[in-house]
Amino acid sequence: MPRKQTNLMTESPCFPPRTADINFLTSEERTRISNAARTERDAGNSRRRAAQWHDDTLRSLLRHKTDDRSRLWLTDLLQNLTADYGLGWSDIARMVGVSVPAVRKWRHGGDIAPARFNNLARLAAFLDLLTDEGIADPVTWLNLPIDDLDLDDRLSAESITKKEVYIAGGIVDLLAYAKRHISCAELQARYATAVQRQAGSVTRVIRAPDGHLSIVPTK
Amino acid sequence: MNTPLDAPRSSDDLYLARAADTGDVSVLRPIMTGDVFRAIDIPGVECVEGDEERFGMVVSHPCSMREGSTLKSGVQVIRVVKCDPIGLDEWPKRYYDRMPLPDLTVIADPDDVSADDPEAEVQVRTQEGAHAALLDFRGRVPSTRLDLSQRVACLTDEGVSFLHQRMSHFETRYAPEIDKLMDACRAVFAEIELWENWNETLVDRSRIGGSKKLQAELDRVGEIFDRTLSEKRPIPNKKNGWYTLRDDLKLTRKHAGARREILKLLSEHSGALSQAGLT
Repeated sequence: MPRKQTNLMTESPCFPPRTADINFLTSEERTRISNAARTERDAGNSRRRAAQWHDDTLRSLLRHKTDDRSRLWLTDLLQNLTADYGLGWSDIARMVGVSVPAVRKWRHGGDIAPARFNNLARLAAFLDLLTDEGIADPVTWLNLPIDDLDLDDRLSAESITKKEVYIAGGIVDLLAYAKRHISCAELQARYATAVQRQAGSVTRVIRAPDGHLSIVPTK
Repeated sequence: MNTPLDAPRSSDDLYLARAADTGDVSVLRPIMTGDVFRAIDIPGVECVEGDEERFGMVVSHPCSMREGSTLKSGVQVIRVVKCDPIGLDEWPKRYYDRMPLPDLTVIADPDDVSADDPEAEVQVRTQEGAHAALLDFRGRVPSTRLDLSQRVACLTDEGVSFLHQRMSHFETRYAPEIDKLMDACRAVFAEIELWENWNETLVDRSRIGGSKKLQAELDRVGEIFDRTLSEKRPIPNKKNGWYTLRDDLKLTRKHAGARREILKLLSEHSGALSQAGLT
């Protein structure tokens, strides 16, 4: 009875083969499988190393750019974010992680803690890097959903926006996405839980604590 | 437990500005939903415990409270009263007939704020500052009675959305999601913010004495701002068709560009005024 020929190319994702299958193979085939598995492992490691290297490079790039930006006066930095990039005060507050009144105080000459100033500078640096990547309008790019494919202006209720990814801490991942190091699906998968968008506009009726019924969006 | 309503993470997230914090709420901020004024008589609303200061909160929707840059002749206002503090954990479960307004008039001691982080949220709530806006004590107040110098507080975009959620639930038992409410008003929130920028740049308060003159100046800048946003602009590379900056503020893809354009036009106005020696 002819033995089953193992196609290393098409079956490579199944490595290592089950022990029962190995018993049917010649030693030469076992060696080939073993080598292919090692190659696969090495390739995986290389990919991981490359991804790590890319991340480190992006982080370093962001750090340098942030350092450049932090040399500006606070008013110039805010001016850059609003007048040049088109961010609103409430957007800045959310992306930097402070309250809107705090940003209002900065506008009117109030004190800013060094860590907050650094966050502001990093936001400006991030937008600069997106521009360097050929994104003509980085703020609009951030406002759109990750998987925005149609040209309609409606926001998809299920998909998360890149701005939400930024707020969830995915700055380096967004840069990697802009550089096409990671796919839209990967970015969506990494941040779907963190962002927790509510799907659709389905509602349900619940009994509220006051004893009456209420209509609420499905969570 | 099923709770239809949401609560802010911190009550300080509610307020954009409070007189108790800054001395006065900037008169350059256009009147907006959620603004609280002192000494407001609300037609049809009887006296109620805690209303000694006659505080009133504007609740007209931001999309329908104006005609152009001018407030309609009357706006919807609800009574704000002093009451016991309502904890954030109670917002979703109780008091469905009111909008809690913690620390409206008294803010925790600044010493409670960490010196290392001046923007840190103050978590200490005050007994004396606690107020609530009563959703059922509502009436139409002539807009001429809203005196900017008597404004006690303004809400943030998020604060207005919490108010809208509670109003909607009170009237209909439907509690829309806060994010959706914010999305729905995003353009008009942006418009008010940009309008305040215009006022800050184009109104020179030091040259204007008296509230009537100031109001006239604010009206003048408001008209220019409204005209700028409503102006029909030809669509580039198209024979027919036009758009307005106000339309663009409503579109996700155009929003940031419209903001940039509006600030650019403000800069041009400001430059022209400087050249003419008017500012």
